[in-house]
Amino acid sequence: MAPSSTPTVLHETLDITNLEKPFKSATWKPAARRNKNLKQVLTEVNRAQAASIIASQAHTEANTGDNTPIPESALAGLSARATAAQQASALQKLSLSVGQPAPTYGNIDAAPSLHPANSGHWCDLTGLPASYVDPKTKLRYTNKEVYAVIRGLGQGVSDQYLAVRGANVILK
Amino acid sequence: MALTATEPATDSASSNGSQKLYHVLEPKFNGELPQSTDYAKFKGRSDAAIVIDNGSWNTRVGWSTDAAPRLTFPPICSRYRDRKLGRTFTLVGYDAYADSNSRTAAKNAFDIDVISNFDVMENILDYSFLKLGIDNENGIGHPIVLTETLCNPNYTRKTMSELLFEAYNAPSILYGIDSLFSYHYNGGMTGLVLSSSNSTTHLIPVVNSKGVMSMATRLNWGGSQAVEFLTKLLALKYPGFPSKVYQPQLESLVQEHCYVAQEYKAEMSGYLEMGSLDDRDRVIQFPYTEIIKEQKTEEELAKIAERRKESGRRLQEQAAKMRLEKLKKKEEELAYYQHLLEKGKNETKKNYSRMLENDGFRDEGQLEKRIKELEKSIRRSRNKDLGIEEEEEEEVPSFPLLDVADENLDEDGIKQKRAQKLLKANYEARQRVRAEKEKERERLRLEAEKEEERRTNDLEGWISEKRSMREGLLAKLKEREQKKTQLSDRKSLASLNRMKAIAHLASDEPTRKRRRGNDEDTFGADDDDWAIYRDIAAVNEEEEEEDEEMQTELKNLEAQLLRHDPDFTEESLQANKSDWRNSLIHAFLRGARPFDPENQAEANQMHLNVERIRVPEVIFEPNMAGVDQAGIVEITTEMLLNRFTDSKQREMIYRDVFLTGGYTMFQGFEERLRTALTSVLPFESPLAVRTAKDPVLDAWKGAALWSKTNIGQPAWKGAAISKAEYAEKGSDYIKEHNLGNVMS
Repeated sequence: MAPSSTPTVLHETLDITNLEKPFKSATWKPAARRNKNLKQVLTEVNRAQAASIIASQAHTEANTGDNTPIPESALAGLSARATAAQQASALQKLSLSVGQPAPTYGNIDAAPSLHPANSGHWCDLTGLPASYVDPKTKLRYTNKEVYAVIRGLGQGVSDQYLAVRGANVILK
Repeated sequence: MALTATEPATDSASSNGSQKLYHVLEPKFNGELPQSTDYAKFKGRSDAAIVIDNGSWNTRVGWSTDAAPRLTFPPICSRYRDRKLGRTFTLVGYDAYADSNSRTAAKNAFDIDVISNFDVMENILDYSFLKLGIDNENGIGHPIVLTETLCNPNYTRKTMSELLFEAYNAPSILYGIDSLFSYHYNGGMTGLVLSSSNSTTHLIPVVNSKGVMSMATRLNWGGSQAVEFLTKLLALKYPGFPSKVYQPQLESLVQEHCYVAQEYKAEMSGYLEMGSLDDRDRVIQFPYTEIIKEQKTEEELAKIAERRKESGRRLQEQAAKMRLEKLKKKEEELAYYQHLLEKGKNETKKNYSRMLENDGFRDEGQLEKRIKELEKSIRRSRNKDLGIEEEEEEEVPSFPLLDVADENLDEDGIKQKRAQKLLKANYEARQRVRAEKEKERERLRLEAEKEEERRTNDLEGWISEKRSMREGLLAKLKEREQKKTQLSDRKSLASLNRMKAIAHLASDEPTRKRRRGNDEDTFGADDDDWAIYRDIAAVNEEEEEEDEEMQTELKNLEAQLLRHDPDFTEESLQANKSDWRNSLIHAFLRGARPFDPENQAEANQMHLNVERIRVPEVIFEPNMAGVDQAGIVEITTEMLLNRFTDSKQREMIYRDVFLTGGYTMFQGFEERLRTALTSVLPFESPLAVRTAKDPVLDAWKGAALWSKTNIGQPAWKGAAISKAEYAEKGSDYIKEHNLGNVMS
């Protein structure tokens, strides 16, 4: 057999497209557009949460005056239209009233470090403890030899070094 | 025993000067996963659950009654169309690595730790059930136990439930958190679960076997981020690396060579110290093709030399022959002309002049001149053949007409006189040049003699003089270099001065202060004025030439010093150049050995040194990699000391800090965490840190254990969602249980 056709033969034995899957429902059709990346999923979760809170507030605090009452008919399509400000204030109220919100994917992220001592200064090139910062590129470096290398870096390379520790400036 | 036997071999290798090389392998396909043939044992048993540890690194599938998962494969699927065959292939897990076509088409089911691509997920489930050998009609007929990430978003779980209940008609599903299953398997009751895996790190306190979800915390750092970090570091460390580096290779580099430092700062500070760097430096050899230089044997070399000599001799012979022939010809010619001259004496004038004309001579003088020339050239070539170096003596030509006044000459005579005048001038000029050359030679000889004398009489003085000259040159070169770098910086003083000069030259009205009454432009009056054009040139060719001159002068000086100065050795030469032994950058890039860029093997090597501890360290200091979160030690102390109000419970938790997940398998991880926590927790806290028996597989084993013991029991009913409940309560519905997520 010609060597070029071997992968195809291999693929045919590995392929599961046409294998019998008796356990699978014959009528099953996946929903359209069920694939969503994490960011899309999280924005939807946030929006739905805010909408439900606003809705519940619309019931109980319709007349408090600190929030424009929302007509019930508008609530159905609210998830799409709720403004960011409304969502934010709703979430804030929730955290004030309940004390601690239920854990969700979005809010279990660890907080930034409160101890500056915990983050040392390390040479951006070699990783050794660094005592100096190049004022031009803002790179940290450990001795003059590394500094000489920094001075010789090509255009944009220093930004790549900064990007490794997320200290680069991104212009939008 | 076998190990100790091999050790001397490696020792001798290192003493020979060669460092141990670690090789990376091409990503390889290991062949088809075996298919289970024993499904008959499980068929129809509703107490045998299919346990799936659905992780972003590997999917692990097996029966709840098994001791270990049957299938382990990465959660990827490659669906691609073969145009030639006109059919679509679906390859799942390792099968997707079968060849480069399928490899490039492979897609991952996960976005970080959440399933985002359900098409891939569906193929993974198909593949798993096929490999288990399930052949039931209308549904898989076994409960499914599925792990999910902490706080899995509702949408993801909902879609998963829909898929399992509707496509596979699962009778019931139990969702649980992988790390809690692992803790359960390792017999934990109350403690802190620290699960650091492929895409995230989770910390979940557990009290009385129940996860305290309100305190669960996630750090966005795991193995995949560590691999990415190493990738970035290596790309910057070796820009333009000649080999292609594949993702699986990088993963293996992280797994095999990285470890957690116990005292990070102290260890890092001394990491690149030359003396002991060999022990820490890992040389990774990437595949390369050797450019083979033909090695010739001594014999062959001798043969070639002989052949070359032979051909040279032949050439010489040929040349000599040719010269001889020419000489013969010339001699014949000479004889003929001499004969002509003899004959002419006996002939009438008329006849003689005709004979001369026939041979192309105008008169007898020309013939005589020709004979003289021939004689001279014959003599010269004879001498050359005999090897006599004859100082050519240019005979002083006579210019007889010059002394005759013009009045006494006819027209022809005046012409000849003019020609003679020119000849004389030429002759004199030649003479002058020769004299000058002689003088220069004499001067150099004298100078050399004088220096020689000075060196023999006053060696020390000579040496110090030469040394100071050398230093001066070096300083000058350095200054030039500095100026060049300064000019590359737009804001430097040198650049500013240059721009000022250009602006000044370009302006119509020079702002130079002039003395009253002296209004004319004097630019150029002083020759130094023109230097300004040299100064403002961006690329200065003249200066570059000068640089080169200085370099050659420096080389001369160094050669002299090397010859005569006993204290000036090769080493003092190197001290000036960059010596790799003192170079931190060299240690960082090339380890503790010299580097030869011509060597293909060495050009395709990467040295892992500081990266070995720098990469895993990020979990303790996420800022290092640009993750704006606290490290695990700070998260733990903050959680335990500030958020846990019950001090009794807090102490119970100290007693069992439990590590699971692939990231905790770095050597030294547990020890480091123990010392770090001891230093921040209250004095004499009863701290205990332990790692799961198998940090990678225990999640699956825990899920299998839990379902094996609880299936059919009320506990199962209270935790798993049945098909009927799904139909009644919708796809959002979950049941909260000790090892699972909570409603949100």
